[in-house]
Amino acid sequence: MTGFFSEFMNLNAVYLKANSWLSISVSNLVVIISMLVIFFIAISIPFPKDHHESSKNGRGQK
Amino acid sequence: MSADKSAIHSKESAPWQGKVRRYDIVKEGVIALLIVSLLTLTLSIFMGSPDEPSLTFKGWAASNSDNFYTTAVQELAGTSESAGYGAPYNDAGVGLNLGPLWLQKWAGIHHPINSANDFVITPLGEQQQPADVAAALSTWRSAAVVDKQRWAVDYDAALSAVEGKVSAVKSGDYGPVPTLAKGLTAMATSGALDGLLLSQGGFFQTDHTKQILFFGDGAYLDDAGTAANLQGGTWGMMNETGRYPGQAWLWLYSLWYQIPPFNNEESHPIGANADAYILALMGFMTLGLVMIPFIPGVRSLPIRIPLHRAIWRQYYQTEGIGKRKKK
Amino acid sequence: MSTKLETQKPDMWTARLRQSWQKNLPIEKLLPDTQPAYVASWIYVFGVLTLSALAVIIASGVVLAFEGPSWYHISDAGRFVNSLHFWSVQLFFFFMVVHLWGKFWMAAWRGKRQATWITGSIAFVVSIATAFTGYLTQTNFDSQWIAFEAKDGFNSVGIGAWFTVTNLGQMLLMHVAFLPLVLGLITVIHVLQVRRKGVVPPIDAFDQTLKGVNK
Repeated sequence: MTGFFSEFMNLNAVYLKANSWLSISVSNLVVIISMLVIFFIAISIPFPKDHHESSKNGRGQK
Repeated sequence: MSADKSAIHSKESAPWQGKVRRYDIVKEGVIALLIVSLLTLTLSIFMGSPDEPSLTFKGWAASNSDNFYTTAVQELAGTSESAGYGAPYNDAGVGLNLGPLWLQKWAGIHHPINSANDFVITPLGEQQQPADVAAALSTWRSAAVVDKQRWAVDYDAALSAVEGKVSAVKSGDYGPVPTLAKGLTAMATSGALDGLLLSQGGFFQTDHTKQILFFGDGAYLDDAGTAANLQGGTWGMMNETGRYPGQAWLWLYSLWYQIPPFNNEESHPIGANADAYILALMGFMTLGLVMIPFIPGVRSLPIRIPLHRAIWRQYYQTEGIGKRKKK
Repeated sequence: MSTKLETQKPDMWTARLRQSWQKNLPIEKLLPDTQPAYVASWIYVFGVLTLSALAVIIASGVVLAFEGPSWYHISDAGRFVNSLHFWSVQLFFFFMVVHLWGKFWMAAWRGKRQATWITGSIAFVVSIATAFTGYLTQTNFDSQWIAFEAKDGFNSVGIGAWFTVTNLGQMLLMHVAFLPLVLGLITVIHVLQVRRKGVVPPIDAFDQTLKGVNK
């Protein structure tokens, strides 16, 4: 079962060149930018509050 | 101040005594596994994976027989890259050094390779050859070393003079070398060389060093690498064949090969020994990563650039913990 | 089980180990049902996501190991399993690096947790080495290219005399046996360290001078 987009994925990669020595494939750029985006989203978006929390303290007791 | 710091430090290392929240560690693990499995399945179903078929000597001879022929001559002449490589294959070169450290040479010859014999003479000898090739082989084997050198080096030079165009080479006294090269090219074209270089006269064989080195001596492998944008000098180490993501985590290792003095082979001592210097540099940087908790300046960066205020926002608000005043 | 033996400092190795284990890593720490209230951010899921990706890598890798390194070239099912292995590796590094960034910006080595950082960063490096041997054992053009290029780096510092990237047999055994064992061990130690020391408290959590100011 080969990928549905295998033909597209096996074409030559597209490279973005900023100057004579900077060059990155679109694929790698997508990965790196995704990582940064996911990181900043993860530290920014609110985390569900715990409604069972309150008076419990200490070392993992029920 | 240091009394406060040490009080904080001992509280940070002590078991947590403050408020807790519900936590189902098993459920978290199961959900994470399900999410990752689903992501992996989806990506696999839609994108597939890269698999460029391996190159063969048969393919090399078919697509560029002149280049294969010329490389065979270089192996006999000792002018190929592998013939002059040095350790761990032979002592024809001194290898790279890091200042006074000649680690490559000192490691010694642990994988002996004689390019002329291993890549040309032995394979030719392992198969029945047409009469002219068999005769050439016999002539070569019984010739003096100086004659072998002279024939092969002269022929290599003559081929260089016509930029590797075999049909245009000037005639001269090259002994059995042209016939040997012709014989090997025929073996490559037929596919016999792939099999012979793999088995190397035996049966079970998993070491492909000889094949890879022979391949690398010619243009076939190199051209394929360039076409797939895998050359080290163009960030190739990070890349994958096709449009698949490569090894983004090799970005820093890759980076050094792009900048001076590492990217200039003529520059001594660093550019000429770039592989060794870069590996040493990466070794130090890796040690630096592991030792971050002990490096002043680096370990205080998270304190000075307070991204943590976002991470622990809920807790700071609930407990009324304010921001540090900027000094 | 005599209580007399438990409370004294035992001279039996087994008893000593058991006591130390019960003290440092009791079952309540291994399988907790609470965590500190400050563990309330989505950045915290990237450790377990990394572990999950590793599980998928190992599962798909075991299938590939059973069928041999050339199977996936000639089999549709093989190609699919190879894809699972390829993408789980991509996800593994993705999640691991985001996890590393999170832990750095939290200065998670505080409170005598240096060992957690050290084992984590060593796991990162060993993962790169394991992935590297994997790329070498694809038995395709990419493997040929990587072997040819990488040999120069290792040869230049003498390591190439023993670590022969052009030797498929050696690289395959490294990739399938030795390195996963090493990585597995380091990962287990890393996770147990987290369980043992607990998640690092927030920066400034114990700084009394900041209570109620500069909100």
